[in-house]
Amino acid sequence: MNAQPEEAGESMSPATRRFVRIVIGFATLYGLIAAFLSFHIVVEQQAVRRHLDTALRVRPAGPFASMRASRTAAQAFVARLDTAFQHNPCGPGPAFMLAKPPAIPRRDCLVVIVPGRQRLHVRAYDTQGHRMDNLFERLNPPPRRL
Amino acid sequence: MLAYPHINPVGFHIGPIPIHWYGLLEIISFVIGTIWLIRRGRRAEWQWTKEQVLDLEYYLSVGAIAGGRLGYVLWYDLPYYLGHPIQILKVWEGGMSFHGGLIGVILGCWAYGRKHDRSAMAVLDFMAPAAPIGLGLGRLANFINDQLFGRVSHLPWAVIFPAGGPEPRQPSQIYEFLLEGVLLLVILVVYGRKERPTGAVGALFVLFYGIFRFLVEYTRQPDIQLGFVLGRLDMGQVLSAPMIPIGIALLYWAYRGGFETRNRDSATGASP
Repeated sequence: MNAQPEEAGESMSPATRRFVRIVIGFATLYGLIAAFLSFHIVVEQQAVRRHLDTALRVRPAGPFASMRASRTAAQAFVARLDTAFQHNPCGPGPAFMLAKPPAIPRRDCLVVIVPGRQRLHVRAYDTQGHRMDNLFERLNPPPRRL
Repeated sequence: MLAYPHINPVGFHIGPIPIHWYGLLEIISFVIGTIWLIRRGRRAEWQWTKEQVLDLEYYLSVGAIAGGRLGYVLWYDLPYYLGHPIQILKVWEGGMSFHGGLIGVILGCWAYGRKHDRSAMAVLDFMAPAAPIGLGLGRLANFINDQLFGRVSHLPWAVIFPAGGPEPRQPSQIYEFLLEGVLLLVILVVYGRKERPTGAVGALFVLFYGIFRFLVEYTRQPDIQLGFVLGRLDMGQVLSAPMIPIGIALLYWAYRGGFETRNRDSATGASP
């Protein structure tokens, strides 16, 4: 008999009441920590998405006369971006970096500009250091709202 | 790879009013769930009248909507809603969280139980097997609406979702429909056929939903405003992970007889 009408609240034993309190306490604490984590991540992710979106939108057009010309353009581009966005949202260090292939830096919230003959490539890493999807990001540009 | 079927999100029109598949499927699941609960309530071991079931539905609906919305605000986009608190009320613009909805439903069971002198766990046991109907059809609606799709994949059954760009993606909504809808329904119905300790069916729902959701999230594209939140885990996994130990703990406590009420204990001779 699972659901016979009963005196529900008062019929709980002290041990069960203690158990329920522990479960509710754990869930509440966990939920608050998750909310704090989410808040923190959304703010950082919003910033790196804005950085990526800007880099994709305003990168100098290719093709370049030579790899050297591409590197020069990339260097100037990174300098411009670093002036506009001075901080890496995930911690110390710059928000943008120039890659010198084959070495491509990888760091949380970093946007990397990779020189190429045809065009400058943009590679971004999210708050957890995973590579972001440029196409998906272009389809869903960050709203300018925070 | 499979082509996206391009189902029109609008099912049909009633006069000038467009009826979206999403809303229609939610209404269908609500109706099926209600009819099923009314039939379930007639069984001797439950003894719920039709009026009591409809009253319970009211509590559950309020809990699910309020909890789902607040959960989304709290766990998925808090910085935005802190700056735009009025937007919290605009539920129709989208943004609901299952985990918030679950908390709302549990609170609804508790509030209903208090009013009608039933234990919250017994109420949860009664309604839990109906929940996968709504969850499953909701995931089908997500698929029709071209939303909450999976990650980029080159599996033979990957689908190119128009809203997801040109690359094929995991049809994670279908996985969720099959696991959180069909399989969870089968598990709860089969398990619930025999008499179980109070709290066991609700605990099993918590446990298996947590497992299924945690696994499916590995194929799902994380919410764009969050991305991954803890290494390779997304927010759905962070919120589903504690459901597994909590479900196990509730199941253990249920089998210890911890949720049996004292009245019942004396009637059945169950151990405390």
